[in-house]
Amino acid sequence: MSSFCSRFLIVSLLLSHFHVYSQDKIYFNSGSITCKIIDITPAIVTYLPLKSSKSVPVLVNTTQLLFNDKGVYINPSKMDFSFKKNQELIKKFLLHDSTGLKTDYIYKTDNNVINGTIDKSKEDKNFVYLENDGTKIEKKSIVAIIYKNGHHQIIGPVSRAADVLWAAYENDFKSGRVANTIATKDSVPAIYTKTAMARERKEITAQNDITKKDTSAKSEMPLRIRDVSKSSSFDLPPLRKQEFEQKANEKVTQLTNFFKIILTKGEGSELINQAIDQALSLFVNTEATVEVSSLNKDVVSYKIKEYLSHIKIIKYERIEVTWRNVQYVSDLHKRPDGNYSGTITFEQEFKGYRDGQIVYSDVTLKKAIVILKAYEKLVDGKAEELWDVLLGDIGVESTRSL
Amino acid sequence: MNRFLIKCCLAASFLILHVCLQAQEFKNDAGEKEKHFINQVKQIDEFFERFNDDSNSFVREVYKSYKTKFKIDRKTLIKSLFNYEGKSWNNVLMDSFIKKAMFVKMPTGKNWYGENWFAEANCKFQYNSSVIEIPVILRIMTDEKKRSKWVIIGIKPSPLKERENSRVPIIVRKMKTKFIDPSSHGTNFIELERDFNDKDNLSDYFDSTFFYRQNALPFYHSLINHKIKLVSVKDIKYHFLNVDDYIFTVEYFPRQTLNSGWLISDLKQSTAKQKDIYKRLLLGEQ
Repeated sequence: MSSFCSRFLIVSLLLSHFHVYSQDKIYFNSGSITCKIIDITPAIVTYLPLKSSKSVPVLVNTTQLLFNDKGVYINPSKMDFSFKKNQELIKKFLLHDSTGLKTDYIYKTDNNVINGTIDKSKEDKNFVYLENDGTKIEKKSIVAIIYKNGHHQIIGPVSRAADVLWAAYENDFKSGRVANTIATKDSVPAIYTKTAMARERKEITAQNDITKKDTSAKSEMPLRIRDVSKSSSFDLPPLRKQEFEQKANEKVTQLTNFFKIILTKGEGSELINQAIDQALSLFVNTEATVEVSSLNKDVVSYKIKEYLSHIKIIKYERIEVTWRNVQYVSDLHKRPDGNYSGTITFEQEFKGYRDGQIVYSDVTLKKAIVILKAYEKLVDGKAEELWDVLLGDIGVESTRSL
Repeated sequence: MNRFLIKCCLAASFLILHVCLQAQEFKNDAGEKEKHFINQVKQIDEFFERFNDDSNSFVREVYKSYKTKFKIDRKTLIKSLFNYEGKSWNNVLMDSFIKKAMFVKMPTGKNWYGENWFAEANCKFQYNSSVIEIPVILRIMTDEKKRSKWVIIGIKPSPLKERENSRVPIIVRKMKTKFIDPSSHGTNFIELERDFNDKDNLSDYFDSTFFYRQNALPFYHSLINHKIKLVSVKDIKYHFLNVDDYIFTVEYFPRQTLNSGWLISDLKQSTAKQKDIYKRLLLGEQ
């Protein structure tokens, strides 16, 4: 965090009242923005700035923390979107589906979390006091506070607070409480409760739990692609058509979001290059072919990498990409390499604006090959077989004006 | 989206499809667009679903999502798969075909095999300074583990001539590592451009019987020696010989009417002998 921001935080503490937010808030690697978060995918967070209806996509890996106005936080750059619990959490986060917290929560530099009601009448520049038992907590040991009214405060570097909050989140996740974090009245945003606080007073800091958690985190190895063709048990599609359809749709949506970043005027070159890299990672390889059509030209095909570099130079002030509500997803066919493939067919409307006017619009029928590929992930020393959907060639069937 | 409009249209559209499709025009609003998307036969896979009246077909799922009872029988579904624009059908022929077709299951899902149906990809190649069209015939090949791929099985007559170097032996690997994706028909075989440029593994994309066919060697040598280069796949036609006593073809009709997409473009009665001749001609054997 910049020295200006640090100073701002110190000043705000000295002024005795916490700076609070009632809107959603995104903390970036540097800086933050108060906004309305409208979509979160594994690659993109989309938000509406205050007093603006123009949505802004940002790459997930540039964000540190996301808060909604109920005091619920997530860190999508560290979340595994293949877990159903995480998908539910994101959905609830976006819907603000929470009944609120019962107490305030104080997150400390030593990864401990204390809950209770902060006594604002006693607060001074060095300590925070809790009502009832009069516990006092040194402010310099606090990285974040989430208030029961949903407001929050980050103290010190965001990255440090993000680590502590994430550690608490992971503990909840492992103990199966993530879904409850938002859904129920009795929810707590972290693993420690009053009981834990009492233990802390006795200088039992639950270090063992934290160590255990760290060890398991380290055992999570990078993904590796498995040679599924050697598996004899690999005879039936591992996903039901519905699941495959959902995953295929997610990939196509992600690709569209990257296109939006690449095509929108004013995005920084670093962000655009990151979007290109991430878009490429959605494809099975860089040799995949993309067909492009427009109202004025014949269909042209490009290698995906070549195409993404090509569209970098086409700039619109704003673009709108609208999907039809239905897509057709074909049956899966087992390939000679043991993976599966199918086709997704969808219609897409495109509108490009310059100077507030639509300068180009069309509707295209697109057909994309999607490949269901197996990989193994080692978690806590155990191999889990997981599946991912990657994009292959994308064809254009027809283009017409809107 | 106007759900009510869609729901009403769903109930009626298939029932009237085969009698009044010519009169239906595309209107540019969301409900109409969605109705068009639902009715259009978007992929050959969807053609098969409807032909078979599969229980999990796209159209049945759509009906389910609109809580509308699906009351369309298989006969009506097959009738809806004919192209009705610019073509008049002999009703007696059509009815007798449908009677036979009701006993046939088109290949879908795990049973994705292709003994008696072929894809004809009409390919445009750069040849010397001009562009020529060569129809490339493909079929699905499935192994005992139900792993499938498209293979090139034949070439229709082309202007390519036998050259001196065509006597050079062609090495066909037993262990093939490259393949044409079994779903590549979904994108009109755009991957063929990439496959034809993969000179090191070129023979992997061809069926071993291909090399014994009449037009095969000039084509293969022209490819491997960079004499021809694929520009694009112009269009696709599917040939079906799997219904007893009939041969029919399916082509893509991209128009804004409900009777659009992959539809039966031609149907003829055919004896077993006639089918054999048809197949030989298709594969360029005569």
